[in-house]
Amino acid sequence: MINSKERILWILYGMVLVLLFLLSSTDLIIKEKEMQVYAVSVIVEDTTDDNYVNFRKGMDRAAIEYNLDVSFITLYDERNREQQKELIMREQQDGSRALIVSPVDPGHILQLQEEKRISIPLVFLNSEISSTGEGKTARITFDYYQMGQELAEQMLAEQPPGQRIFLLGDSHPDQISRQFQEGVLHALEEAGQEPAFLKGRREGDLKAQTEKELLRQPRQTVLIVLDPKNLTEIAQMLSEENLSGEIGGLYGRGTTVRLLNYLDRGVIRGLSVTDDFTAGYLSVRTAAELVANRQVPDAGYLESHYIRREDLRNEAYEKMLYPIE
Amino acid sequence: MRGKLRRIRCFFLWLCVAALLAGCRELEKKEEKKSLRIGVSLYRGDDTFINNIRSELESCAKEFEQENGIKVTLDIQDAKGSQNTQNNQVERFISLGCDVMCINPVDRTAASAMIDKAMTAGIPVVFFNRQPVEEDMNRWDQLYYVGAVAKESAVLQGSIVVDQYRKDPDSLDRNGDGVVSYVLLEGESSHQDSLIRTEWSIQTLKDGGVPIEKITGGIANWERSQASALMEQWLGEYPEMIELVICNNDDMALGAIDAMERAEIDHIKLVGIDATTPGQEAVRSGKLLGTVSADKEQYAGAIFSIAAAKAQGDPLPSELSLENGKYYWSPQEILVNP
Repeated sequence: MINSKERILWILYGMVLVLLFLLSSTDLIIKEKEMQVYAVSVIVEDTTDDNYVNFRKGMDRAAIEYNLDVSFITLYDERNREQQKELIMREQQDGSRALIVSPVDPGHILQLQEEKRISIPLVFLNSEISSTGEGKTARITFDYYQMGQELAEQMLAEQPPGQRIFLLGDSHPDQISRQFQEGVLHALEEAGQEPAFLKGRREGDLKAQTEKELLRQPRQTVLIVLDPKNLTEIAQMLSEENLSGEIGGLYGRGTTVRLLNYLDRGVIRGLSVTDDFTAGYLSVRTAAELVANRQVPDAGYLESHYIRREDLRNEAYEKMLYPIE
Repeated sequence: MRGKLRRIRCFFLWLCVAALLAGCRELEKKEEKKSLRIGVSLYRGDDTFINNIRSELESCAKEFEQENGIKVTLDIQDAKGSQNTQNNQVERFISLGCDVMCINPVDRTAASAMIDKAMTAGIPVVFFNRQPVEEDMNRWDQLYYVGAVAKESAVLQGSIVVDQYRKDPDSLDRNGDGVVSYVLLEGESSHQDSLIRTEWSIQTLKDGGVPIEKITGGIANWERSQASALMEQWLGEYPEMIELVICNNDDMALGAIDAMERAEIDHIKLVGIDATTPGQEAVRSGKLLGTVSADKEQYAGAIFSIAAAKAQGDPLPSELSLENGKYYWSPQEILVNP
């Protein structure tokens, strides 16, 4: 038989156990601070994320650090302004606290914001638009004009005089390609060069035109491709037909693994690359700061470089082009 | 006493009304489901075949959105070859409220921890490409697997070589000694597909009457760079001896091609499996004799269809024929330069 003292002790033990259970398994006594997870949507102008692989790595890194739920959304049809608008509206309605947009038509997005149809913070990606003055807009971009200029200057330094220079691109280029082209043209004009243009709209257009041009004096032909998509197509064509060693050189811009492989294999001679990981990280960080109503200073232009095959083994470029989250 | 009883009755009545209202809200919630959230974890995002499947999954999601007006959020995460990372990703998917998870396991023998978490949260799982062990798959009726039959891939790969040998034996037996000397590039030793692909590919060559002799073989873990390094070493060790390279996947075949290009050798024949985009490019340019193509559209389509149906609480589409109600096998075909 247990006496009353022991009974009290047992009851006390029981109470301590209940208390410990309440402390450890429930938030009845110690209220755990509820972590708010904000949704942020990234809406790009493309139909795939092929050109956003490193960007997404940076974006994911920042999403974890700033405790955000980031969705990456591509369009159904490439550069479709209306679709992008609908997606922006949908994401806003679905509770996104901020948007990161690589605009198809920057003016159109700005108009939506001025009309107060976009009421959440907006980070413009790869666009020259900066603050609208209400402190709810920011910009993360590269200096594509300067990139084009540097690429053309480096190409001129590498190539012998008298080369036939062709600029290849979409017949309806996006804003980035236009800026890049202006930079290339500026440098070529300063050097007294007059490039010829090869333009295409549909897949295969440029390939056919380039093949025709390459039949005449391939060694004297230098190709500068103004966008990553067409650069991949031309590099693939040169690689498949074993023509890469036969031409003066292929140049362009982009950071996809495929393009870097073509550079490594000598199909592409020089490439303008951007620090996409940082762009992704900064976009999300900026969005988080705007959501928290903090002032965001203009990040200026982010880092970009002109690289050759040998630079791929350079540690700094390796970190930038093949980032590990 | 009577007042106390009345209070207890009132309390229970209130409880019943609350439960009824909560039930109605649940029903309303199900009817109003206008968005699906699918968590996708990849064993390694830089694997070309997996990347192809990922792209197809994204296309399926877009198509579904356009057809049904239901928003689909795909949370795609790269486990970077770490099972620990993948376990954390599964936890994150659960905390983000994913309706279903599609998992390409890092370690097929370590799926139980992920299954435990999914079962506790009541979230169905579609595994793909790396098949969890049967015991794990049988633990819950909300687990599915989508993949290609490894034996079929291997037999088709072997038949590419058999056909080539029958058509032009000299193209394979370059030194005319009556034997095709080959080297073998294998995937991870822990991956069931790697072992089956090797075994049945060789068996098909023997059954097809191709006289073969193995020079050497090595594990390149499905990776282009590792395969390239091994091939470079073999080209140095066995000069003029290698006539055929049998690879468990296209990435390793491309790695071997890289090594051959560096050594300026182009007469060795290679075969791969997967028909990745660069693999197909290599077939078209004649650098790769052939590859085996799993229909990636159907493969990803099956993953997405199961996931979407489960996320909406619908029965699985009748056009999907699942073995044992769990396994979907994607059709395959040979891809050679015509």
